[in-house]
Amino acid sequence: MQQQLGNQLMTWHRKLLRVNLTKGTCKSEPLNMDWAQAYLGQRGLGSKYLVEEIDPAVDPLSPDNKMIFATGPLTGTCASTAGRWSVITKGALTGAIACSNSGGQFGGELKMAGWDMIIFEGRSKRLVYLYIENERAELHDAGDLWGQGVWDTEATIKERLNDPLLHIASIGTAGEQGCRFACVVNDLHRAAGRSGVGTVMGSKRLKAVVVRGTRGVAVDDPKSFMKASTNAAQALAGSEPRKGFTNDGTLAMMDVTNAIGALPTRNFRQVQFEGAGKLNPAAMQTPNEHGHTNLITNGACFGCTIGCGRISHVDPQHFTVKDQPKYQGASGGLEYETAYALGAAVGVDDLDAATYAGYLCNELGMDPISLGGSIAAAMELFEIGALTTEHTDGLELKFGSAEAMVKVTELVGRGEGIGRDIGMGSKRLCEKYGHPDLSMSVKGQEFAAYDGRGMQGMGLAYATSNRGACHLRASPFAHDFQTTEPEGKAEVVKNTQDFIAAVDSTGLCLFTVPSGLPQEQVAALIDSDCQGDWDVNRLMITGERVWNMERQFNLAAGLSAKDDTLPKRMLTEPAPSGNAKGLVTRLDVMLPTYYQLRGWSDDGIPTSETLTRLDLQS
Amino acid sequence: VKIKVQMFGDLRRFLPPGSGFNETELEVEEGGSPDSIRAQLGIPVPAGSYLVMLNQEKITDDTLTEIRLHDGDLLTFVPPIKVGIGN
Repeated sequence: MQQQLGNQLMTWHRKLLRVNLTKGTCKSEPLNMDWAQAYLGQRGLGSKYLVEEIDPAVDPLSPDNKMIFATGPLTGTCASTAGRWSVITKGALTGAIACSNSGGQFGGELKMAGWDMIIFEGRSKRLVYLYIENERAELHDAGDLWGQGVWDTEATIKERLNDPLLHIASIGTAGEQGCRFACVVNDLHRAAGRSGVGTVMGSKRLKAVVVRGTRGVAVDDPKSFMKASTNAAQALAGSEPRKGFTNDGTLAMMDVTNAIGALPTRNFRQVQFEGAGKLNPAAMQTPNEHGHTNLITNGACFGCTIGCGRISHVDPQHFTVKDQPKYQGASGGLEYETAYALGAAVGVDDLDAATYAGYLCNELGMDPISLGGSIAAAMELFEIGALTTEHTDGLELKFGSAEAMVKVTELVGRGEGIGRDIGMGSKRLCEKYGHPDLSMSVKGQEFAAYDGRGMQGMGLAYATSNRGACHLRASPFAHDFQTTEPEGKAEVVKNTQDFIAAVDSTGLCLFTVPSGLPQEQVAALIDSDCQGDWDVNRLMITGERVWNMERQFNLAAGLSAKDDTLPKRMLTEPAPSGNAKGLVTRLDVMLPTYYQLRGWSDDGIPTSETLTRLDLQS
Repeated sequence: VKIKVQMFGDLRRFLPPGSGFNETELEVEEGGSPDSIRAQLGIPVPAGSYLVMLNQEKITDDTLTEIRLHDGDLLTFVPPIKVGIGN
């Protein structure tokens, strides 16, 4: 049923589902349309609800924390990539506001079911899953799913409900066991991956959200929308960067970062990895000595015309799968971040081992970036003797050991042995073993696959990201590619943070823009989809509002300017090679300028003028 | 003079037919420069949107015509990491 306001079609269904897990109730309530005008949807609107409904100081794993599944206004429409959805909560890994974005088919299905958003509150007494079939929403017992991975959970529920077309978002054993970087996985291998949103879901004893939606999704101005979405698809079709994503996936980055000296290696001690040529698109697409080619094909999410995803299979003779037929079939990966985290970061140049460990991340529900960063920290702790074989039950946790990396991945995912400590994340791990400086993280979240010395703007982006270190909260890539000089970085980081915050609130994939979709075309899609006049400027203001709202939440949660920093290694140990050889991250130069451009005080607090300008003054 | 040329990402389209996945060997006339290789392969000028590296060291645009290539050199063309978002 298409929702209407007056005589106009609406992209919003104008309703959210509130699920109280303590009471076991599911209730429909109206969506706050004033907030939708000010914050769009998905990241912006979900964060607004979170900010309004929880105490920022709450323990992320307490029943008083809430978890929100949010779609954007474009989610479920025919615009290219418009299937994105987000999980918003207070992060279990970071203690900061968390918003993790996923693709697959789940988001579109949720919107098709007639819901703009789901708010989960409280904690269930028993393990449950939420079943949604259009307007019907009910909690089902999931006791027998305890201990199951994501893949078995999806298969079991589909069989039980006799519906192979269900779309499911669930947690694996990592989320059940309290791994701090557990994620929410949907459609087998797409994930809301970062900040421990799956840990929060596990703390609520919610195993899965199961959706079947057959309602339509309307738009404000169908004729303009069809024109805008056709233009967008054509822009992407002819774009060389789009072709790069399609042909090589995100893994194309491996050769580039390694060439310029921004590929973090062995817990960021090096910035170039001698094994990068065994983890790159050529390795993935070329037969190995057994004639086996890792890559099968590419894959796309809901409505996507980019198709950056990889579908692969591990050589059946490889040590990881030779006795495990379950893992010999086609599955999702390898993406660049996983290849970095379970490859270069741990000094492993084994493509199939990284691919298999990536499968485990999908099945057991873990963020591969934080996993790899935490294993790398553990390997350095092992190297200096702070961790020993007594702690690891005899495992030689050495850089370069594919066997050790795979074993630890299994242990973390199941919450066993040393995996429990590594599953706390690198910050807690390194603090426990007496070397906090060895955690390559910001606000407790591990760095992604870009070194902040070789890419100075990325260093600033890590330091200032509201959800902890993240490569997807700003886009200094092009500028960093040109120069390692710190001048100009603050402006690029600030502006791209704002625009990304807006795109993350639309339902579009962030990769549309680097794939060749101009900002004006993003605005045209929103303008024809939503009520009100939308242009690039309004998107930028909306993104800036979202950014500052997130900042306000973090400040109220107890974070401050002292958390806008980088590990000692980034600030005192020069890059040993590459374009930034001899350089540390010049945060001392970039951060004051960034605060100034943001309209924040020297202490990183938004001024009253800034809050008033953004309509955030309470 | 025989050199190896590498190209990553979407720059691979400029590799001659019969090349490997992302590299090829080229015969270069004595006195050849990175700029002459770029022209020979049809890579658009001006540079700036991609990096040129010689034996894994970045070289600047103003030296592209001056540098002389030697037998065994590795010349690498690196595409932009990503086009900018909101830049």
